[in-house]
Amino acid sequence: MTQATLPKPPSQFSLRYGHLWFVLPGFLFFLAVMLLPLAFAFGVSMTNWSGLGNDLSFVGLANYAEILTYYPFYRAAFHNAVIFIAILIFQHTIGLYLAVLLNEKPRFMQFYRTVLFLPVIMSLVATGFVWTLMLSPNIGLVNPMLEAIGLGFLAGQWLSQPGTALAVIVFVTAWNSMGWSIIIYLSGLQNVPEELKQAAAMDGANTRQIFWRVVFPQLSPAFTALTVLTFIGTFRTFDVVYVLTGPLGAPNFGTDVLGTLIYRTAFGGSSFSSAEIRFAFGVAMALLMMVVMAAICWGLIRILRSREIEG
Amino acid sequence: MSSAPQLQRSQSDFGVFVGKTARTAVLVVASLWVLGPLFFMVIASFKSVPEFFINPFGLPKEWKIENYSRAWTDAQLSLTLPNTIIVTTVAVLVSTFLATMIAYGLSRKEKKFAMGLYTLFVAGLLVPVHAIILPLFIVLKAVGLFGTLLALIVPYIAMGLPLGVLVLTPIAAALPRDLVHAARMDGATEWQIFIRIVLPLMKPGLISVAILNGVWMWNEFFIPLILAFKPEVQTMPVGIVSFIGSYSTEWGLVFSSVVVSTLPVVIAYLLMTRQFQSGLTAGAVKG
Amino acid sequence: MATVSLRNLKKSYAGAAQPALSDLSIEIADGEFLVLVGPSGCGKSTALKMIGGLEDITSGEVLIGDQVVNDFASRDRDIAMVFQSYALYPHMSVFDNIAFPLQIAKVGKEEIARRVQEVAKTLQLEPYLQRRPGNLSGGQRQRVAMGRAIIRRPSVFLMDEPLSNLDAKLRVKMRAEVAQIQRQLAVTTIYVTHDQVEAMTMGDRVALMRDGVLQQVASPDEIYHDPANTFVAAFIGSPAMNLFYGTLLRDAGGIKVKLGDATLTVPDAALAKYNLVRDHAMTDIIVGLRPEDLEDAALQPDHPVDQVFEAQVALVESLGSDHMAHVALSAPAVAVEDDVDNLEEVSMTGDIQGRCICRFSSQSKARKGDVARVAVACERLHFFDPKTGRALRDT
Repeated sequence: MTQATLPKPPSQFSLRYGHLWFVLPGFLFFLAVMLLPLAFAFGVSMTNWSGLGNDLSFVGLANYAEILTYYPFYRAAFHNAVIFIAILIFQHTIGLYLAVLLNEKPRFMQFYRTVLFLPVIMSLVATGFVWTLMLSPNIGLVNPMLEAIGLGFLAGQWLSQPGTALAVIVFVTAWNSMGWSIIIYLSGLQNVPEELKQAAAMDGANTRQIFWRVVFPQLSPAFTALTVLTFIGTFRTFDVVYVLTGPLGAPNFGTDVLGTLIYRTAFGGSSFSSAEIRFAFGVAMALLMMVVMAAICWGLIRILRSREIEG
Repeated sequence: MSSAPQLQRSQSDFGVFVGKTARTAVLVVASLWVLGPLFFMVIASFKSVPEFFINPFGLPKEWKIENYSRAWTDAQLSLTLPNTIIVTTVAVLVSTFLATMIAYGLSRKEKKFAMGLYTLFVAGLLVPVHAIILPLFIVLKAVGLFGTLLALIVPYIAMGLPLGVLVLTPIAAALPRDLVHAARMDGATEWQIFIRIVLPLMKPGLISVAILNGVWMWNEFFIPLILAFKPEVQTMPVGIVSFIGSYSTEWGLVFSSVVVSTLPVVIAYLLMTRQFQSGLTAGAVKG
Repeated sequence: MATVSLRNLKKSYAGAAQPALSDLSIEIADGEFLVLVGPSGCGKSTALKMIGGLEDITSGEVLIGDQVVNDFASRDRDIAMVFQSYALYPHMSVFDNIAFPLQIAKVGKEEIARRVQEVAKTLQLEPYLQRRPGNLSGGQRQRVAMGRAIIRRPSVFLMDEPLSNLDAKLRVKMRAEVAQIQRQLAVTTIYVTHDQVEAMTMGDRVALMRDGVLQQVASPDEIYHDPANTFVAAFIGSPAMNLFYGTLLRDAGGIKVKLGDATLTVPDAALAKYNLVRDHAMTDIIVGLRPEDLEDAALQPDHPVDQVFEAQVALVESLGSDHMAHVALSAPAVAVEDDVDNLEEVSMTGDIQGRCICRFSSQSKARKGDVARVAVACERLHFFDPKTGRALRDT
């Protein structure tokens, strides 16, 4: 313990805030890639900048005002909503049912589980191509299969008919996301204590009653998670539509969603001339969508969580 | 009357059998629904263009392996596959490491300041890529990263942070405080504590986050669509889509590219099914 | 090796009404084994963490050797700590756990191997060096934690309830082992526990704390026989000291103390020890009687009659060697609660019938319901101020 080798005492600042050094490097990335561009985007959304050149002027909230009466925005949002509702129903019925079946630990359970979750890890681009092939009128499998089982009248030009194109988007999204609902519900089911079911059985409940009265209420955290996840996923959908029906949301905007609309407005679709690109307007739509989605998410979580407590 | 219970019983035995068969059937149908299209695509990837029209549904009469070699050259997979691997690997490693550092730094959440930072990071999950991508484009161009792989890596690193922080902060907060104290007593510096104690203890969480981020980075379409113009810096999803613009009838080529782009993730998934399922679910349930 | 000095140490948390630790001053000699004991929440762990640098110091100073170390990081204080949870690194083998402080200090590989072997031998851990802590028993883990602390040969050991996670039998064994290791190494040690038996058996000195305030620092014998106040008296010893309100009387025979119906003569020996008692004549005081100072008078025919009282036996618990007799004394008992805010509030229990525990020897024939004559070793009576709870003697 000689005086010469005594270490320097650390400063009070480093004692109190020292751990924040660990945050700094990540924060710089976050700042540069997320926060600053977001602030920049907000600034841009109040101009009429096209995205190219220096020709711009400040227009205040005019872009936002315009969105309120911009028909394509509502049309796209409506399509998102249709996809959301349809996927939601699919997840909470078929997905839940498959999870229940898997929870009974059938033979080859591991196999089913692995297979049914597989599409989740596939890119939506790959998924889109798989189903483009399947649904192709010339070389696809779907039409001949429908004919084979006597439903030939359903066969058709799936992706170019307005009535079916959106259904196809839903169908493909369902295919890609089914694994989520199965795994989330399955882990929820596995967390239901065995004693609870046995107690209900002692009380004279039959299998169906046990499921609906005892097990199902225990699944509400899974229900909440899945609903919010589906909401975010379906309102951000872009890749599937882009690959299956193109940036225009063909046919005749029948599958146009917010993702493609904003993309097209801000960056131009293939058949748009650059004169029609309105970058600032597109950014305004994206920001408005972010705020509305955040609000709805927050509301959804609040409503569903309060239900969980009651349950 | 007396035979009624017995009748009921045999009926229910039969019912159990039917029920069981029906359930198995449902699972088999669901599995076919998933595997069928994939199988069909793999078959298609070995077909020549004429054969698609002569024999669209059967096995190929002649297995055209060269679809794959052509995909490698014509569809530029020779460029985009290595790009995807580099971008995903670097971004996953850096992002997960930085997220762990942040999570550890923030895990002393009794400080209001840290709580605010945590909320800020997690709120990053809601930021729409559409809104920030052009400003990002301008920034990347200004600093000279545009046209390099870093133009994807840097945004991916940052965009992987919110999920990483979300998943890892509770894990870091749950680490026994005494372990950190003990290491401090044992003479370790804060950095040594992080590398030698905290990081190894958070390994399960790190794997979850790495998978979570790795999957989306590998599959990401929109960001490279805007930020990577030429095949030299593109990743596979965009590479394939832009290639199709010019070769839309070369189905065999298209599907062999799709197979190549999907295969690595599928193999990783089959090797680590558990980690993938629990890792991805962990992120989803918290998000 | 070093001394440790705590000077007016204080810790207060924002929002807390009273400080977690107030004005703690203790001088700990080089090589001394000091035990910090007290009920939970008394500030003993806080004090230990402040010495270790794991907790900010609100005011006051910690010195190790001659150096004020308030602003030093833990790693620069040359101390080692054993935690209640052991805090073994679960991802490292036992070897690496013990070697960790040396690895951090960049000691050579061979030197590390040699010293780990040495420590493992001392602690009988040799067969387990390649195991992970998760595969060890509680006692083995405890030893690994000790090993990690001693390998670095620090100037000071800090131990935070290191034995409290062990089962009773192992605890007794490890108690002796830890004390022995400490004596062997002669390293200044500060040991925190809530267990008075550990405090009494292990420490050179015991520091008893309560609500962040130091009550007494003394050798185990002194703290047992000369408690500084009613709290110390009640905390140390099991069963606890009997404390009753009584009145001091003075008559021709000298000074007597009246406990309800009973009157006991206070011999000169007790008056010499509690030299302030005389000033309290004719007033209320608190009298303390250790159970072992109360014997069945039937077994001690020679006992002075003015040091005996009669009481009804409410309950007899046989421990084999002794009979614990609970007798009813018609004097108000003093309750010294852990959660009472300060000593001034030592309160009367509701009923005037206090229970008094006597340690009768096993020959005693006293049974429940009997009226027993209890012989009091009055020279070992304790006297406390009824308002402050302080012992009635100069300190």
